[in-house]
Amino acid sequence: MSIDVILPAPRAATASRKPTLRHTWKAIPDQPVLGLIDNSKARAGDLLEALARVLERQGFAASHFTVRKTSPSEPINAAQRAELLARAHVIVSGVGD
Amino acid sequence: MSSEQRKLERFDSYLTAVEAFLDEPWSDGLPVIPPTPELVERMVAAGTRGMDECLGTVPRRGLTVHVWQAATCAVMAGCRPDYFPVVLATWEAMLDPRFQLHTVLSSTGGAAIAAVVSGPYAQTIGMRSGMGVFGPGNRANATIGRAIRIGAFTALKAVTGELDASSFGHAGKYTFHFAEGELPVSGASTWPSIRQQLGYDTAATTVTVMPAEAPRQIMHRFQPTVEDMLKAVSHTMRDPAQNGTGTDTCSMVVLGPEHASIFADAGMTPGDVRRALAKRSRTSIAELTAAGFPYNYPGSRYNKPDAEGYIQGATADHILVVCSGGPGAGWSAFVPSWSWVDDGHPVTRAVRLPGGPAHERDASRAEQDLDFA
Repeated sequence: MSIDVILPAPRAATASRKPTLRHTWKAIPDQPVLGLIDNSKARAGDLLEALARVLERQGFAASHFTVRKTSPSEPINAAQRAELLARAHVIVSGVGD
Repeated sequence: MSSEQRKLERFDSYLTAVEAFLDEPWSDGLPVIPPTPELVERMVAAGTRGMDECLGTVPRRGLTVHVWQAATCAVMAGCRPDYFPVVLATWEAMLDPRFQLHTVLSSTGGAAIAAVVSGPYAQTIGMRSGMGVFGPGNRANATIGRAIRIGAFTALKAVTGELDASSFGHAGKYTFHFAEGELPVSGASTWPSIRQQLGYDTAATTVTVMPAEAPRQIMHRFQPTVEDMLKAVSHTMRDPAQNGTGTDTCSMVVLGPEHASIFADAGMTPGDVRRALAKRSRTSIAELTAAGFPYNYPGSRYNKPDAEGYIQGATADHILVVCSGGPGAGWSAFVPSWSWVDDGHPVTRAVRLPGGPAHERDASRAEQDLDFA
């Protein structure tokens, strides 16, 4: 006997996994400016600095700057978001533990 | 997911539906009850909110939880309809922005949602508060917590390896709901219940949620004194390997009947116990160092040592003393938060029953140094 059920969520096969476009982005030059988001966890800033230096040394980035969150649980604030949008061509975020 | 996106699907048989749900990231790995429209409607009718009402939003995920989703997951988990008011109160508490649900569900720390239910409705629906309180075998405890976790998978995409990055997780992530048990009597007075401590009347039933690491059992069956018990519990509380030790964290201290009576018989209240434990669960640089944890590691969040050289962990307002568990030789349990209060603050909500009175919190009657409301 057939049974009708409510799906609690879209099926994985049909669920969209494309990233959402949140901003009309600027063109990325060959040597972009990196914007780094330090989530304030232990040594996240050190790791990002080391990554940026490697990318600059190898010619993949022109320069970088860092914004630091006050807590890993909080999103970047409006001023940090504005700075990233104004200055960075590429943003590195999502640092874990 | 909005109510407009609610989808109905037809399966050849009951078992086909069960298997199909296991193929999706919609369960804890155990079979679920297929949520037919009739079962979901019956679940919703047992609560106080409409099918399409929004229970809350998790902004950083861009996701919402609606009543129909909570009810669908409650059916899947095996809840009886009369459990649904507790499910709803739990969601309402978890969706309070202070609870930081996004962080709680995603952290590598692998937090469970620990929820203690205080009040007569816990007994009405048969929640377990005594023997084996954190163990299996009670339908209400098992399925209410399970409904919440299934909701995290489905409504909030807290699927392992996707938006749940738990390095380990623990058994409490299957379910971690339990009831407050019998309170100890000291002379003519009884210890105040959790809901009374938080400013609710005794007829109310409340749910208090806290993001939690796995519980640690505390054995002391050697005729402990108050002093012994404070030492034993506080020693467990300041285990250097716990993420919250020496930081602004929170916790539940779940006292079994014998241990709770030791404090009550000495004339201590729950407030006295948590104030004493807050002081004694401070750690020190020497204690951290001896356990292999460098105090000055860059980015660590340890508090600064006080004038006596102690590093404060949870303060008295962030320790909830709970009486629960069964009689035995002498057992209690410590339930630490998985992190700092800023990353996941405990929250309490009253359970609302159809046709029942609204039990509002009266902050003036609450213990003023207890921050679990």
